[in-house]
Amino acid sequence: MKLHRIGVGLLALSMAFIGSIAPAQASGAITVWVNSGEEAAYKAASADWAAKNHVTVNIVAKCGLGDCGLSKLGPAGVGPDLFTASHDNTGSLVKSGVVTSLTSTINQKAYPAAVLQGVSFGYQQWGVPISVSNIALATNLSLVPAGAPQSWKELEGTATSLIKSGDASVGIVTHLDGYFLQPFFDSIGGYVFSNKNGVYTSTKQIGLYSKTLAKNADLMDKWLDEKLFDKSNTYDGSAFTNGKAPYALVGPWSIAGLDKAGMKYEISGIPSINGGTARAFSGVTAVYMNRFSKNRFLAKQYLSEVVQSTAFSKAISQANNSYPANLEAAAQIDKNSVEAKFGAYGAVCIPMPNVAEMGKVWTYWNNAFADWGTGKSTFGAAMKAAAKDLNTALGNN
Amino acid sequence: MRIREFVAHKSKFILSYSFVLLLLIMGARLLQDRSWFLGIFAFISAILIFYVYCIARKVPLKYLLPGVLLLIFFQIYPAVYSGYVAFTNDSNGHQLSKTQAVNAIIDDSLIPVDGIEPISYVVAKVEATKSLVVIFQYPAGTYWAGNSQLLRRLKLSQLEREPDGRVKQASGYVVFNSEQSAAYANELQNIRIKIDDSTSLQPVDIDLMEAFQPSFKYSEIGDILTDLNSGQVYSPNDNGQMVSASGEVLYPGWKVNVGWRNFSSIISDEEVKRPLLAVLLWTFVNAFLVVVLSFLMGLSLALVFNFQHLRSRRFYRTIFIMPMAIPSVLSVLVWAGLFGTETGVIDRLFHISTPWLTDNLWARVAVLIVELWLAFPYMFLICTGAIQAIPNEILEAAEIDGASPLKSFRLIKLPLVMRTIAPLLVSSGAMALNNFGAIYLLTGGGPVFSNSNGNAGATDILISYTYKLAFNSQEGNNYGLASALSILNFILVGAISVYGLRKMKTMEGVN
Repeated sequence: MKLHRIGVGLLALSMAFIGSIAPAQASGAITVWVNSGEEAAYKAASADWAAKNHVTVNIVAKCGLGDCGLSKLGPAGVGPDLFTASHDNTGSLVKSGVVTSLTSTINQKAYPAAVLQGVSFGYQQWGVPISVSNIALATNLSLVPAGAPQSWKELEGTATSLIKSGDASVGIVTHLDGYFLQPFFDSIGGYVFSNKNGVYTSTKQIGLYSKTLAKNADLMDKWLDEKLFDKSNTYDGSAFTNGKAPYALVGPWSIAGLDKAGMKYEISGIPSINGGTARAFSGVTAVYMNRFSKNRFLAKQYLSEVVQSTAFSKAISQANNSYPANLEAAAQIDKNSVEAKFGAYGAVCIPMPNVAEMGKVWTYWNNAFADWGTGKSTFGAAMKAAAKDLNTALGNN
Repeated sequence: MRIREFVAHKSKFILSYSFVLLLLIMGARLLQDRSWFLGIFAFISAILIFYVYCIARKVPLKYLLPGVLLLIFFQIYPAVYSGYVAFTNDSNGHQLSKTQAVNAIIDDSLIPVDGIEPISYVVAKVEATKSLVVIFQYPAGTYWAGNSQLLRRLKLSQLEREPDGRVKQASGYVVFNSEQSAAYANELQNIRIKIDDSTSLQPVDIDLMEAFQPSFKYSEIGDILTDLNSGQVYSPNDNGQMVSASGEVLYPGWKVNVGWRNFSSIISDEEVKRPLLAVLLWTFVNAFLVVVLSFLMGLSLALVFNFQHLRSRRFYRTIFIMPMAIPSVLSVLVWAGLFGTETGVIDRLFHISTPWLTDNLWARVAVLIVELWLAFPYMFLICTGAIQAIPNEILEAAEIDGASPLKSFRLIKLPLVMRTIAPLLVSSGAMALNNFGAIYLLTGGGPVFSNSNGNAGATDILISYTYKLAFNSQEGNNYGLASALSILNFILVGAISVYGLRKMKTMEGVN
């Protein structure tokens, strides 16, 4: 029985202890959620500032795609102070009310207008840009010694003749979806939302089956028949590295793989059928602030003094092979480097729409690409149906 | 032996007390996070466990209590909660409370006021009420102490100042230095001091405030938001959003009770309805086929391997139970690898090109094959058991009476087997209706219907479609609708199970 008395005593003590736990004071520490695999770079780039200001910067690899679950975690008070996200989430983050405006924190002169456009929604800016990434065309130099194609004709001609001669099994290694095929979609006159030089004007007007696209839709079917694209819709990167495909659509994330394969390649923009360059989507990686953060002062200081610094933008974009969003950092990039090639093409790309409606667009648009790729319908028919369904889904008619 | 008893007694003591302690800590943390139900539940559980195991020694309760508590925690609470969510508009854009949402709209509209320089402040507490205030001068020479609720002018005689005008001491207030102030950052960042009708001061740093003008003003009378620039008036609609007369919506919205709307949208909303019929149909066809086919396969294998003259029957039986021993996650993923078009093992073996996971029909076949693979060992096992339980005398009597093997199977074995197995078939059916794992891992519900809301696909069953709506959709998560669908799913599965079991009872009566 004695033991039980001790037990009751212990319990009473521990109750007192629980009662005395004050609300956690987190002053002097901020938490930043970043994409997994990039935490080391963030830690290194924040270390000096943290040491100088006696602040703990907790970098946690928690984010992948989307909003990191912040729309649920933020209001529950268990989110981080800051988190990284791709700029196309801006609209839905703002609509969920979990991010706070950073317009007054962002140094407007440090970034290109298109990048700031990407993190803007309504009249405010919501994310501090770090890096910009986009896909680009990689040319296998051992298969195409002439180098990157200067025109669409050259690209198509080279690819089809290599396929005919049996040297290549496919023209361009790519996924058959909206993100990867956007440059071709742009080339033949399609667009997601009406825009003027990449500045979106209205979500009411969608161009999935625009007049120009309707006229040119057969081209996509032709290119599929010519094996310019692989019908099986498997992104067979080895076909490119093994010299069985002259071209591939690659992102900054593919570079490590290409270098590892020890092949010779060149990065360039994608030529348009109308001459000039076809525009892919560019994506901005930005840092957003949780509206429910308990350390907004410190987080803002971190944004101003660390995230907006030239060195930070440079270090992070180096770590994820993308192009720095910060103008000064971009100016320091070697013009002949792979990053600079991505960046040069990125400069003519259009920012991916960041409105919340984009979620529905991806669904219907990608499904249309899948229907076309698997041969269920022609490109024109697939896009026509997608445009109709999308208009209904967005309540446009 | 004494030592063993002693250790047993001590460890029981330590275990039960530390478990109670753990629950108490959990409860305290949950209450701190304002999770009232779970927090109180943890406390009540702790008290009950303490009472039953440490004080009262109620032996029967010792056996009952863990099960009851776990039942409440893992079954009843989630069910009740999703029942509650089904009647709200819980989804992306409707996560906040109304106050939070209105404040967010106003905060997002704040524009810095030109002409008012940043104002430095010191942090203080009112001696009498202990409420946190900031002390600042605006305009120069006039001192104020204020927070979101109050604003008081301070007399110069009250103050002791630094040469630069910064306040060092104020009578009636406890003034903090900058290090002490840092601890109040969380409260400071939410302070808004109104200095006139449209302008408010707001700390932007630990010692600096800036003046902001909101574009919106909320008035509790009439519950309206007014756009101060255009005069446009926004009032709440029944979906937890502020809407103008012309239909312009302000974001974010908030969570409200929407009554039966989630349920009615299952029938009325074109986007939800479109894929639902196909999904429902496949849910039933899939469950029916899996149960029937796996039963037939299990039964025939059981009959064959019950043949007495067969050598090493045990070995074969063990082999057939193997799929059950391998974690189903693993085997489904292996199957997914086998099903690759042209590149998969199956296609390479037979030199064919089958669009296994990309064609609607073939994907369904693939799902059936995998589910069959996962389900037949169980059927084999219970059929073997049921067949072996049939007394040999009956079968021998039948043989002597001249019954052919087929007849003795049809008239003796099958009815006797069915009698044991029928209820198990019903439960298998209920499980097959909810067979989320195999479908999620193998096809992810795909190939998707090109015109479907939330990416529903040809192999989606109701529960996997629900999951997509709730968590997996690029279109934003819709927890409300998903909860409504899961309730629908529960009703369907429950109704079919009850019907099935009723049928079984009548069968027993016949026997």
